[in-house]
Amino acid sequence: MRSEPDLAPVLASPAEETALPSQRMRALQRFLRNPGAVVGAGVLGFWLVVAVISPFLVPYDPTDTVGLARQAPSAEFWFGTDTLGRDVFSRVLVGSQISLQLGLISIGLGAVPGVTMGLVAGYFGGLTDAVISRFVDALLAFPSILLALVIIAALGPNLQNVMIAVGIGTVPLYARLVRGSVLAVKQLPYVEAARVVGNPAWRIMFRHVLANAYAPIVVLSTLQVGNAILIGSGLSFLGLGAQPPTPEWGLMSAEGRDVLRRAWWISTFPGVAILSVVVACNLVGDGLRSALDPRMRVDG
Amino acid sequence: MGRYIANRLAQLIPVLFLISVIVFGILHALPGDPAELILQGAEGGAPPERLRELKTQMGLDDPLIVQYLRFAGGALVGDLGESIRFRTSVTGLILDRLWYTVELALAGLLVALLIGVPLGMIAAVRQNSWVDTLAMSVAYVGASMPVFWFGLILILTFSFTFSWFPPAGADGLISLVLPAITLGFVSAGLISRLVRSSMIEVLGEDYIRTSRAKGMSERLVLWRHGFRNALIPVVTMVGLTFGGMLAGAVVTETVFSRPGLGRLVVSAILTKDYPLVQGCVLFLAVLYLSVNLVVDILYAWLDPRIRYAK
Amino acid sequence: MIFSRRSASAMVASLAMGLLSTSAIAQTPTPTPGGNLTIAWRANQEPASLDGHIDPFQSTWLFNSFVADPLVVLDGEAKYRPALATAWEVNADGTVWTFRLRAGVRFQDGTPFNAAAVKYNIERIMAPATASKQLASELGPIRSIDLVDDLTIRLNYPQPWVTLLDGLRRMPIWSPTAAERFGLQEFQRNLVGTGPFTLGEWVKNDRMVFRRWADYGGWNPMSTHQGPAYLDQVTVRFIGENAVLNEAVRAGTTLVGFSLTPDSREIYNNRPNFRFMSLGQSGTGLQQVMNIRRPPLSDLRVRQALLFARDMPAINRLLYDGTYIASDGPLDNVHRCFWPGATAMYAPNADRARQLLDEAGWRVVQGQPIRQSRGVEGVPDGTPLRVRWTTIHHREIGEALQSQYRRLGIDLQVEQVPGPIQLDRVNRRDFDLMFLRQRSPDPVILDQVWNSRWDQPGGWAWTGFKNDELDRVVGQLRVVGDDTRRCEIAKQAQEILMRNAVMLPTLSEPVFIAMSPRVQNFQMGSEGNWFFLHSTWIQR
Repeated sequence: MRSEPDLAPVLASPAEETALPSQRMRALQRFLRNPGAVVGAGVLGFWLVVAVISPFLVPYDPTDTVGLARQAPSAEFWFGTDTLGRDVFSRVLVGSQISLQLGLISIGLGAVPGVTMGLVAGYFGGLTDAVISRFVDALLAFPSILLALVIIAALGPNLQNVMIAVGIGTVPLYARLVRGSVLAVKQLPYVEAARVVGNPAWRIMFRHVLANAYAPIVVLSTLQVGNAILIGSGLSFLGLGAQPPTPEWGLMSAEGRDVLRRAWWISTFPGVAILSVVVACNLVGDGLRSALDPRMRVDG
Repeated sequence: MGRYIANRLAQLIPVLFLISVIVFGILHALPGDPAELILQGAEGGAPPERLRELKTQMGLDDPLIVQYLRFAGGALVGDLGESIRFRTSVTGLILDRLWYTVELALAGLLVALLIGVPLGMIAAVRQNSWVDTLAMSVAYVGASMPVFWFGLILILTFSFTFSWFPPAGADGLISLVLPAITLGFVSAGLISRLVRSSMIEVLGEDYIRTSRAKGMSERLVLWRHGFRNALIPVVTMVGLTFGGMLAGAVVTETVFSRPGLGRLVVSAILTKDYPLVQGCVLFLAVLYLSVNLVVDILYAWLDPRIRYAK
Repeated sequence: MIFSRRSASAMVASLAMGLLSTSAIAQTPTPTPGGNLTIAWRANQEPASLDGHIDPFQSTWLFNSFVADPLVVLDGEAKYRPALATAWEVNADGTVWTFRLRAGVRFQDGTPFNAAAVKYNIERIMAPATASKQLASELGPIRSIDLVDDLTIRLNYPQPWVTLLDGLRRMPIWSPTAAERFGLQEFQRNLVGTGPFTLGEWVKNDRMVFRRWADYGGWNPMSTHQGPAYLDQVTVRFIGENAVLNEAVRAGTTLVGFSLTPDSREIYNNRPNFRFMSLGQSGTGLQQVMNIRRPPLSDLRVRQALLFARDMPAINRLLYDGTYIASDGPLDNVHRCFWPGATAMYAPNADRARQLLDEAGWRVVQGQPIRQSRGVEGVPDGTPLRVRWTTIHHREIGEALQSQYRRLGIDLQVEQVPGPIQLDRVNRRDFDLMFLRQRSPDPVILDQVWNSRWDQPGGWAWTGFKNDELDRVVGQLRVVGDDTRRCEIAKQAQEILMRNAVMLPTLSEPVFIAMSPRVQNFQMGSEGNWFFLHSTWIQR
C-alpha cells in the first residue's frame, strides 16, 4: 500500500543466465575494490572464527565468578571483571556465538516464510496476491521493535523468543522484496517460455525467479543480521531479551550500565563488540549492493 | 489528487482490520487471565466466586469472536478498554503520554536531518576523499551503536561531567536535547548514507553535466539541481523514520526516564497489563500508518508521476 | 555510617536523625519558609495509583502521608505518637480499642474531621468494592465500630488484635465528602486529607508535585513548629537509570536522592559537602522462602545443605562492597527482635553441606558438574539437583549464590520475574525458593509469614511448613502486648524456623540517601523507608 520508490528490483535479462559466472567474478572484483566492504568482511570473518573457537580459547569460565567484582583491565583479566566478578574478556568472546546466532537464526526465521510468501504472491497474483500483500502491509505497520515487544509479551522473555520476534519482524521485508522481483521477472520471455513448455509452478519459481532475485535477498539479509543484533540488545536492555547469566553482548552492556562511571569496562567492551559486528554487516551489505547492482535499493 | 487520496484511504481499511486481528490474536494467545490479575494484590490470590463474577462482568466468558468485536467496536469509537494496573481508561493513559513521545520523535527527526543531510551532501561532493571517508565512518558508527549505550555515554559526558543538560525527566526543552540526539543520531547515519548515494547518482546525470558545461557555477549546480533532486528519496525516508521513532523511542525514553508511549508499553508488558498492551500497540500501529499515509500523499503531491503510476 | 551487627533499627535511625536535626539547629536557628524540595526516586517504585486504601505499596503510603495525616505516627525512635488521635487505649485482652480524636481539625476541602470521618475511612477500606490489597488485612477482623461521641471512636474485635497501630500509622484519613464525590477510580487523582501538602500535578513516569496547604494546623507530632509546612512545594522525580539516580544530588538535579544503590557510596563518600547515609530496614531481610511440598526441598538435609553452602559475607563484599546488612535468620540482624543464634547455626561450612547432600541421596557423579539423585524418594534416579530461585529484584544475589552452589554440585536456576508473575507462581505454589520480604519493626510479620493458618489464598504462608509448636508461638504475637515479651516469643519462633531450615536468609537492603547540605530537618522514620517533611526547610 505504501508506494515504494526506494525499492527497484534487479532486472535480469535472459543473457545473464549464460553469463552468470563472469558476472559473479566481476561483482566480486567490484566488492574487493571497495575498502569499506573488505574491512567489514574481515571483521565479520574474525568474529565468525572467534565464535567457533572461543570455547577452546577463553581463559576463564564465562559464567562463573573468577575474581573480585569490578576489577579494572589487567594482565590477569584483559577486559576486567564484571559486577559479579566474571571475566569480561571470556564473556565477550563466548558472547560472539550468541550474538551471531541471534543475527543468523532470526534472519533465517524471517527469510524462509518471507521469501515463500513473496514468491507465491508475485507469481500467482490475483486474490492470493491481494491477501498476502494486505497481510504484509499490516505487518509493516508495526515498527520492528514494537512487533518484537508484542511477540515477547506473548511468548515470554528469553533468547529464543527474541530470535522468533525479530525474525517475524523481517518477514514482510522479504515478502515485499521478493514479490517485487517476481513481478519484474515473471513477464520475461524465458520465464514465459518455461511456463508454456509445462514446467511446474514451483520449479519455475525456484529455478528462474529466485535465481534472479538472490542479489537483493543477500543484501537485505546481511543488513538485517546487524539490525537483529541491535534490536536484540535493545530488548535485553529493557529486560525483555536474553536472561542472565547468558553472555549476550546487549545484556552484558546493559548490566554494566549502573557502574558505567566507576567500571566503564563492563559496559564498554560488549558495546564495542556490538558496534563492530553491526558496522561490519552494514559495510558488507552496502558493498554487496553496489557490487551486485548499484541501482538496487533495499531498505534494511 | 482527490481520487488518489480516496484510493489510498480505501486501501487502508483491510490493513487496519488485519492489524486489529493480529494485535488481538497475539494477546489472546497469552498465558494469564486478566480477571485474576485484577484481583491479585500483594495479598496473593482471589476467591473463586469473585473471579467468576468479574470474568462475567469483563465479558471474558464470551466466545472469542464476540470479544474481538467488542474490542474492535470500542477501538473504532476511541475506547480501548480499561487498564488492569492503573484501573483507568487505556485511551486516557495513552493521551496523557502522547505528546511526550511526539515531541521526542519530532526533535529526534530534526536532529537526524540536521546531521544526516549535510553529512551526506559533503560526502557526496567530496566523494572518495578523506572527508567522504570520515563522514561515512560517522554515519556507520551512528547507525550501528546500541541506542541505550549511546544515551548513557551522552549522560555521562554532558550531564555528569559537564552538567549542561539534565539526565532525566521531561521538563522543558532543555531536557529534550540529549534524548533527541540519542534518538536522532541512529537515523542520521541512515539518512546521510541515502543522501550521499542519491546525490552521487544525481550528480552523474546529464543535465548536471550540461549545466556545468554551460558554465554555471559549481555552487549553483549543486544547490539548484543536485540538492533538490537528491532530496526526493529522503522525503519518503522522513516519513518512515518519524513513524519508526514514535515506537522506537521506547529505549530512549527508558534511558532518560521520560514519560511516553514506549515506556507505557514496556511497563504494561512487564506487569502483564494486557488491555494496556493491546491498546498501545494498536494505537502506535495506526499512528505509524497515518504518518506514512500523510507522507505518501505529500510525496504524490510533490511528484505527480507517482499519482498516475498507481 | 557503620553498624554494629546487633544494633537495633531504632538506634540506627535515631542516630541518623540526631545528626540531621541537631546539626540543622546548631548551624542555622531560623528556618526560612519557601522553596521546592526535589527528591529523586526510583522509577520502579512509582505508585500505579495514589490511594493507599487500595494499593499496598510503601511509596503510596508515604506520598499519602504528605497529603493526609494518620491517626498515629511511628516516630524515628519507633515509638507511636499521637497525630489525629490524641490518645488511645486498649482493653486487657486486646479486643477493644478506643481512640480520642483531635478537635478543631479540618480537611483540605473545609469539611470537619471527626469520629464519623474515621469510621467512614475504615469502612471504605473494609468494603469489598474497594478491593484493598493490604490495609484491610492490617485493620483486621473488626466486628463493629462505635461512635462514642463526636471525637471518640471504638473498634471492637472478636479476637485480640494487638497490631492495630502498625496498620493505622500508614492509613491515610481522607475527607469522606471528597472520597464520595470522586469515587474509587478518580479519588486517587484528587486526594483530600488533613496533611501539610496538597497533591499538585502528577505527570506519570516523570514527576509528582505536592504544594503547601496554607491552612495546615500542624496536627502531627513530627511538626517541630506551628502552622503550615515551610516548603512551598515538594517535587518527586522518578528516575529509571540507577546511574542517574545515584548522581542526581551531586549533579544538582535534585536536593535529595532517596533509595540509591550501593554504588552511590563511591560518589558521595569523598565529598563531605553532601550528606550521605545508609539506614537499616528492619524486617525479614531479602529472604527466599522454601517450598517444602516437593523434592528436593522436602528433605530437611537438602534445605540445611543450602544454608551451610552459602557464604553471605563474601557475597556482600562481592556485590555491595559490604554495605548491605547481615540477615542471618527469619528477621534481619538489625531487627530489635533478631535471634542471634541464627548466625552460628549455619555458619558457612561447605564440607557439612556436601555430607548432608550425600546423605540425602544427591551424589556426585563422575564427570558431571551437578549432583544426581540415587534412591531419593519421589525422584527418578539420575535426576540432577536443580533448585529454582525466583525473585522480583536483587537477582544478582541469586547469581552470586549460583556460583557458590555450583562448586558443591547444586544447579541453582535464577529467574527474575515481574510482580504479577511472582503472585501467579505463589498462588499455584509452583516454586522452590521464592522471594518474600516484609519490612516492619514489629515481630508480628513472623506470624504473617509462618503461621500455617495463613497458608490460604491471600495469605503469606507460602512454604507448606506446618508445625504446631510454631503456630502456637507465633500466634502469641497477635495476643501479647508487652514489648519485651513479644521479642522473646519472636526469638523462640526464629529458632524453630532455623532448626527446620524453611527459609534461606541472604542480606538486608539498607536505604541509601544522599542530600544537599541545604536541606534542613529532613526527619527520617524508624524504618529507613519513611520520612516526614512537616518541618523540613531549605537553606538559601
